[in-house]
Amino acid sequence: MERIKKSKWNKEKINEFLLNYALYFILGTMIVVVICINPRFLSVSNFVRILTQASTRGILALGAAGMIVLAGTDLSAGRILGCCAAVSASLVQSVTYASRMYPGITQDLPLIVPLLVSIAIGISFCMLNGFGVAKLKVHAFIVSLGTQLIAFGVTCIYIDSQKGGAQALSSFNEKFLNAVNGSVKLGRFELPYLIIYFAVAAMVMWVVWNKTTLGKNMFAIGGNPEAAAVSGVNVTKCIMGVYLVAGVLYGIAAFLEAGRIQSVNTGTGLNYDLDAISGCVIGGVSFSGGVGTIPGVIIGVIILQMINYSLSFLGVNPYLQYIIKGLIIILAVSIDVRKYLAKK
Amino acid sequence: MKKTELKKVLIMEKKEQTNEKTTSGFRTNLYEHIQIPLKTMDTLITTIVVAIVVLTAFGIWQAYIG
Repeated sequence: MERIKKSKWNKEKINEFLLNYALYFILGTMIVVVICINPRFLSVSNFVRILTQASTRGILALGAAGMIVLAGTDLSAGRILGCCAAVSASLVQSVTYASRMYPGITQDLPLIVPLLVSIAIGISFCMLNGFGVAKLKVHAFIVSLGTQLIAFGVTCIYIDSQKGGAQALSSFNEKFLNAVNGSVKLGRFELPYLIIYFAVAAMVMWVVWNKTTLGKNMFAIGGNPEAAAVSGVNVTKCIMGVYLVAGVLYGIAAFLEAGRIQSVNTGTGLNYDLDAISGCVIGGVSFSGGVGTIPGVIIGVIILQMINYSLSFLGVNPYLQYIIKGLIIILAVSIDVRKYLAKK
Repeated sequence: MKKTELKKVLIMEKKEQTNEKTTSGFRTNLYEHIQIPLKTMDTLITTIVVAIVVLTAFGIWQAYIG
């Protein structure tokens, strides 16, 4: 009897383990299959490429993660990035480019100027979101849905305001391109600056989440806002603080993304928020609030980027890739719900 | 307390309660309303996993052979 009970218990535990970590098994198997089909995937240059592509989306995800920990979301992250990227791109165009947006700028601006402008725009939009959520008590989904459209409208108007019409912003100055796309030589190996910027942003956010009052309050509010308020946490101030930090990160991500893709148009930033949110969910940030880690976000973003890259590497139909990505997101949320139901 | 005053207090309390329920952006847990049995959730997760595997295999087959 005892043996039967033990084997049943073991079977249940194994089932529980397989279901809770189904996503990682699926993704790991996918990557192994890709490597088996085409061993060229397993090269240092490919990994560096994946990490470089994941860097700007990772910085975006670090900002969005804070809102998910607060049991909210941010659908406007991509469009805000597009808006910030458009403005910063217009300020870093080469002075020798005849069709540049500001012909009055005859000298390259110090890079800190477009970066600060990008951050300021990111903060403005995010504070709008934060105000709606913290003060008006509107759900983050609805506020960010509205802000998404506002940001898109502003981007279109800004790009359309050029003398030559709505053309993509490109032909950036060398200083900007080197600062974003350059690399550090470590012997034979070259480490792109983008990966370094991502690493620095991740370390700063780890400190904010784990060693500051804002971080601790953020987890408290995400877990139980009423208990947090009763414990003396200023819920409004904390929510606004999280949105402020997100705005800074969106601004930085936008500045770097403009340099990485080297051409900004009205479509820049489209669906970036979905990648950011998916990365967070895959990395274990729970939609129910109060749960999440910075290493989890980083791993989630890298895994998602690996999947994107590997499916493209194999030549899988791009429309099918959308379906697979969508299913991966639904799987991640389903596992999150399952963990919540199992706890209940 | 007079009856009319008591009525007013009760009406005010009811109003505050409904306001709290309708205007809370972060009050309620996102998954609180979900009453699905765990087994159903397990079946759903298994189905999604199978769908991902099948679609990925189909995509790779299409790219290499189809």
